[in-house]
Amino acid sequence: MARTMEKPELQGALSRVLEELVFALVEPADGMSVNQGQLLLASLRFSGADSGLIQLAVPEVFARQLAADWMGLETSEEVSDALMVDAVGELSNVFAGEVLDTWFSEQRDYELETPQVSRIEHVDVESVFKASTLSAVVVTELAAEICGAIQVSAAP
Amino acid sequence: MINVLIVDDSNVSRAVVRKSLGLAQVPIARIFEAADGLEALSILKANEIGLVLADIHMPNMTGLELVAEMRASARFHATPVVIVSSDGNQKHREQLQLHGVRGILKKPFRPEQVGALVRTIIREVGKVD
Repeated sequence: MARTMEKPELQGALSRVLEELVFALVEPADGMSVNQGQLLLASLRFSGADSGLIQLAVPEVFARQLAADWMGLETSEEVSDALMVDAVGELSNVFAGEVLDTWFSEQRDYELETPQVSRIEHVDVESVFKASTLSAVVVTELAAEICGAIQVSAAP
Repeated sequence: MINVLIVDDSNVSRAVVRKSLGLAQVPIARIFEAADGLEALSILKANEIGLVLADIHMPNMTGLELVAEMRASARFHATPVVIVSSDGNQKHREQLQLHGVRGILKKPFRPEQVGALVRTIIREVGKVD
């Protein structure tokens, strides 16, 4: 195992990405509420001294608004599904880089695959994050709850 | 003022870089965009590009392959390239530095960080010219 990570470090990585990439002010949260609507789940496989999965779940409403902001669109209704998936992919990619830089500290010798984004329901996200090695949730000032997790599946 | 080429296969990622350059008020004549290294080479051939901001992981031609192609070219070998990526892999960074990239900007970054880096490069390019 390359190293372990504590929950505050994971929460810190998630907060940093949202604050610097999205300009969103966030606070730590205990878990995800059931009324977040449909969620988008990004999954990125990684390999190195440890192998596994980085996952990020965001409410679809937040993802659409994020894509609209980045693309300079007037309203989130103008955002296509493809653009929304692209936005979540970008967010998850940056989050994964932050997490893995801590997990594989020093040499940072890891490979990260491109994100796979899918729609899931709240019940599914609960089972995903119960299976993770470590997970953390933050909430934005507009009450969007965002959950990030790392799942270490195998040691070489 | 120089023309800047942003190379990334993600539309939103290119938009984030473009927006950051705007927020940092970097003096740029025109911003061109390409979705991979091959498209970037076509734009480089057809336009006067003063700086390339490129991702590493892209289909068809990666950022590293693009830098290698540019270094082997008589016309583009001196065009500065900055890698903009969330990839923190040390080996990848060393490879990029061996190929003479001018800077590596690790995501997430603040607009003032990209602004400072690009302004420094613009000043250096101006001195060389």
